[in-house]
Amino acid sequence: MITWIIEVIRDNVKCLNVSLSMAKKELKRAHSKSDLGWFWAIAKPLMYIFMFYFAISTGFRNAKEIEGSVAPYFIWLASGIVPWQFISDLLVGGATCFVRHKSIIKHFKYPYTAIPTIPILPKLFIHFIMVGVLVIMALLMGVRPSIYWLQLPIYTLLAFVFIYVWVCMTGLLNVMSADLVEFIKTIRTAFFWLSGILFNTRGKKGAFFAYNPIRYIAEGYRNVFAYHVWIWEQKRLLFNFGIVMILMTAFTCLLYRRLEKRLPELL
Amino acid sequence: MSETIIKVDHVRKTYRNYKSNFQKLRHMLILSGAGEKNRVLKDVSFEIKKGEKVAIFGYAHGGKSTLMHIIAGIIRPEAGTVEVKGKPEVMFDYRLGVEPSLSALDNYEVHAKLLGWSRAQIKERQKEIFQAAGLSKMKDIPLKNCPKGSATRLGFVIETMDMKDFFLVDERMTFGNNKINERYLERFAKLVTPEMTLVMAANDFKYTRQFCDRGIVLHDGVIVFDGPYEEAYQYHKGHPQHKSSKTAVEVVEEAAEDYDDDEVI
Repeated sequence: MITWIIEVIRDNVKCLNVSLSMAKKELKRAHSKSDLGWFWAIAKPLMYIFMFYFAISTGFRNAKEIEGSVAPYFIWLASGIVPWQFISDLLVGGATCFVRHKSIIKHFKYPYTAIPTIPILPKLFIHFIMVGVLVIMALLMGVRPSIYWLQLPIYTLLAFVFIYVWVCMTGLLNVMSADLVEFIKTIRTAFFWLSGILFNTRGKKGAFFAYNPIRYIAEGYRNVFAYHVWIWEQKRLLFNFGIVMILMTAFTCLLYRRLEKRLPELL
Repeated sequence: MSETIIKVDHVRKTYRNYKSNFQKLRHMLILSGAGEKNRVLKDVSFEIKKGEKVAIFGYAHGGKSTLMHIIAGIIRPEAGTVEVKGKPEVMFDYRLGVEPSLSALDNYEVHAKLLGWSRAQIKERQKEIFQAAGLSKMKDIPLKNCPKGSATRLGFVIETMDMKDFFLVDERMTFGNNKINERYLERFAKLVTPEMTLVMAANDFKYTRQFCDRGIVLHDGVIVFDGPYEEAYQYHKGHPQHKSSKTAVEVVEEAAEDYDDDEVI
């Protein structure tokens, strides 16, 4: 597994230039049909946040300040939705990465481990903009800049690592069976509701809360903006996240080693 | 004696034809219930020396492409070894990373970066490439709005820019029979030098005879003839299965259908 991780890092660094170029192309393609392309790329996730805030505050009359949070409810909500938006599209969309780029795999000597990065980079770019918007909104709503904000790159890195392993794993499984994408589509909603994106899961018991990596990442962003908690203060959750990531990485490595010799012919 | 560039030693390759996705999944996960075995390369050995121009003959789905991909290091052999000196330039897909909704210039940049060109090389070669592809005035227009065949033309010019020492051309790329493809042939002929090692997969001799002097005939996964080009072609033509197999033109036409300009690859 260690050699696979080294291979992944080495290949991704080697192919970064190509991956960035493909990401740029993907962003251009996604917004090539509209004149205000970039505006829609940011307006859509923002509207998503406002819609949930409106539904919870007006519809459910439940937009109460969260216990232990130093930020207003809106910032608490947005700091969970922003990482979810980065992850959610890739939960399903990432699974097609190897199939979508089969022309590169079949006709060109290109490291397979650099393929999952291609769909992630455009989303990561939008995510950086959204984090910027979140910071501006937090400042406008009276949240003072804090030393805890320095943890943001760590949680973004953890989100990136989780989504890379997820995209690689589902991408490889999708090569074996196309039914997998439908299965993930079906469970995506469950991930949303059981990851505490919209409600406070602190203190709630249950394995899905304790070992859910998406919940850990969303809570991490809230530690930065709302709870002001250091990453090492939640040792148990960090340990659980580590266990899940090691298991996911081991399984992905196993799948990769199983398929790497035959990937071009299976696509 | 000239140096050996390619040494293929007892190479074998088997594909599996799965009846269903479930069968494929089961085989991949627990190694049981494997699909029907299709031995495309049974025991293939040969050597190619520097400067040789070799055509690999064989009928459709007879393992030529697989052999080319194994030499290029894209597909791994099941058994045997392949030693290749130097890095071969390959022409297996003109439309590498093509995105029809983006401009020809954007597509050029991605294709060139995939081939490992530096930023300076991309800039330096841009003018020459767009001129040769006949797209100088259309580089900012989305490829889907450019005349039909533009993506293929652009890809061909990019792929042949680095034709220097060692070049592999797959059958699907061995030119079609229309006027545009005759232009490809003309450009290709100008770029082939006596020092260059060239390996072309082919089903007939229309597009390979002017370049190749040696022919290897691959039938049923084994080499049945290896010798002078004309004799190799006659041997291949005389094989009963040749009559029922597709001609190169049919293969290229089939490939052209696959490569519809509006397709997102």
